[in-house]
Amino acid sequence: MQEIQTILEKQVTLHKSLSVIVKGKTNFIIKQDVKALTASLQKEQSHIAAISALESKRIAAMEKSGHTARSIEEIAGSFPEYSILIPFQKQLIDIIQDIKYANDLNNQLLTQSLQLIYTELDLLVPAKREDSFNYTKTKNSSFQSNSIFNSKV
Amino acid sequence: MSSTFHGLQVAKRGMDAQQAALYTIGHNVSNANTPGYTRQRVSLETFPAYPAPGMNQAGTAGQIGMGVEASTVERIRDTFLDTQYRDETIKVGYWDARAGALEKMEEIMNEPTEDGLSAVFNQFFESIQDVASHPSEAGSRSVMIERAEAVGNTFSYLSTSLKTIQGDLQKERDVAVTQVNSLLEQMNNVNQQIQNVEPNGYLPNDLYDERDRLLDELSKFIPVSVEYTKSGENASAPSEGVVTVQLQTSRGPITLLDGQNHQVNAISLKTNQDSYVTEIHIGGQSRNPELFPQGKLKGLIEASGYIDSSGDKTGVYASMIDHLDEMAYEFVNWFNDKHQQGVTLEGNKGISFFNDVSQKEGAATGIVIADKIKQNTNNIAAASGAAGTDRQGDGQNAQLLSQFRQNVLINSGNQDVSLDGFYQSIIGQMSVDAQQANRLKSNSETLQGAVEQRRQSTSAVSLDEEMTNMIQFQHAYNASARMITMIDEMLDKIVNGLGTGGR
Repeated sequence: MQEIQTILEKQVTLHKSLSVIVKGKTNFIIKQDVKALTASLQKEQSHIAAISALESKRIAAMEKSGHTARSIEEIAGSFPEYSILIPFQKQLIDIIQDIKYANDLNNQLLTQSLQLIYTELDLLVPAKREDSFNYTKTKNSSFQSNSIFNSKV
Repeated sequence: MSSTFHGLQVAKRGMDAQQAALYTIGHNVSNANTPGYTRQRVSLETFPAYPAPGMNQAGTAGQIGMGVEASTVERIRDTFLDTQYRDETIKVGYWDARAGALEKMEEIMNEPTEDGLSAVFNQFFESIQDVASHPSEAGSRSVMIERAEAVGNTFSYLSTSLKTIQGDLQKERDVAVTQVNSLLEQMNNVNQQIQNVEPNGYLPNDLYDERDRLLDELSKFIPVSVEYTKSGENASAPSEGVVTVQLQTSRGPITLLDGQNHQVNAISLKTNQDSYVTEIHIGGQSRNPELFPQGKLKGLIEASGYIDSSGDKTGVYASMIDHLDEMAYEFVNWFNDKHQQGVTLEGNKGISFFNDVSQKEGAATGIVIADKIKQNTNNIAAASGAAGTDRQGDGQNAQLLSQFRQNVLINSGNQDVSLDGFYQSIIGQMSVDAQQANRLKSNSETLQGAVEQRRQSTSAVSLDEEMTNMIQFQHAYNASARMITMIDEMLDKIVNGLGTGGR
């Protein structure tokens, strides 16, 4: 019980700082600051590793207490002493949803800037053509240069 | 062999071209803060060489060039960014209108606070309980009547406030339509001016800017697709031509502005007596509001209410007003019915507690306590059982009445839910909608901001860049001027110095 509570507390703090990083990423994407973006990606990775380690610890602790694979809400329903965990669970859900929304926004921002980059790149680089009908089924794996400058010409 | 005065002409062309470039820089710098302005650039080209090389031509090692020419002044703008910007602006317009409407609704409903409907229900419930435990006390009976009045007043306050805001939104919607039509008119004017200028080979860059600004403005309200048609044979290659604006609906596009024929198809809304939109007319075609594409106009139409394709009233405010009416109707009917089954303090059969409400529409504004109850509190039928007996200490019917929140059943889709459950679900739905609208609004604003930044970085005037260009072109201008001085000295030699050798 106590163990689960400390784990949850740690998870809440970790998610909170992850949410700060994710929101910071939004600004970096808008400013197109790739260096800062890479740095925050690394930070994010270490957070994710720590979170998943905690998560497996939490599952182990839950198993040890004899409540394998059940949600905190279910357990709290049958064992009232577990109900102090519910605020942590709610907090965690809120933060995770927050992170999800921030990630959605980041995703849209990235899609938007990539759209521009690809449109401009497509003007320079000829696209590879796929054969629509290839009856012989031979693999068309001949090397095709994908650089802006075609040395063979 | 080229002419003696060839060099003079070349240097003059150089001065002219650099001067044009400098003037364009001046134009850029002075418009650095003009909204919608796109920076311009002079494209310099070598002047067509003369004479053409041929066999019978005096042989020189190469061709002597004829100098420079300022061929065109072009705008530096990325149309793809314009498309992206307008796509996001549409979303901002839609979610902004929706979030604004829902925010006002949340303010009116005011849940959960002490002034909300559920708090008033609570107080009413308590007062009936009081009557149930002290059925013969006149005090508790008059409190119950007051509380019942409060319920009626709250219902009617909520309903009328919602209708007032709905009216405001309907006005805003009509103003939006006028704005769209005026934007189309302005664009038509700019189109005509452009078509007058372009066939002469000019590039009306500032008119293009104006037109793009109008298109940005228009895309707040409705999503449009834009097509360009060249305005004539003699128009120069980079010219954009006239624009044709189309509205994309799910049943095919409708032309709003026909560029070639200079025709504007204005949008007009057909409304019913309650000012709900029934149809949208554009240039001889009509669409149900349901099929109208996203944008601020659609957001306002949705908020203020419209008649959907199956003939039902739909809309953010319309549905809330309907829900309140439904609640009021079921509540009054259930309460009257149960009250009639009870027995008054004097042993008579119960009468209607509230004045009867015959139809759902407008029920929320029509909850009035029956005069007989108001005049004599003894007419509250708190007791149960047969009439005619002494019922001084009986509060059974009041006990039953106090359970109105669980027992009034309202049809919600496919099942009946209690008054409480129904109210909770509509308030819950409202706040979920408001949250979503706010989130998507701020998301699309961020996205719009990001594109705007990117667009500014291509098209806006950078004063630093203009300064370096200025120095560059000024030097070239000075150098061309120096060339003229030099050629003047050469000619001086010819005129005054030649032929004097033998003297």
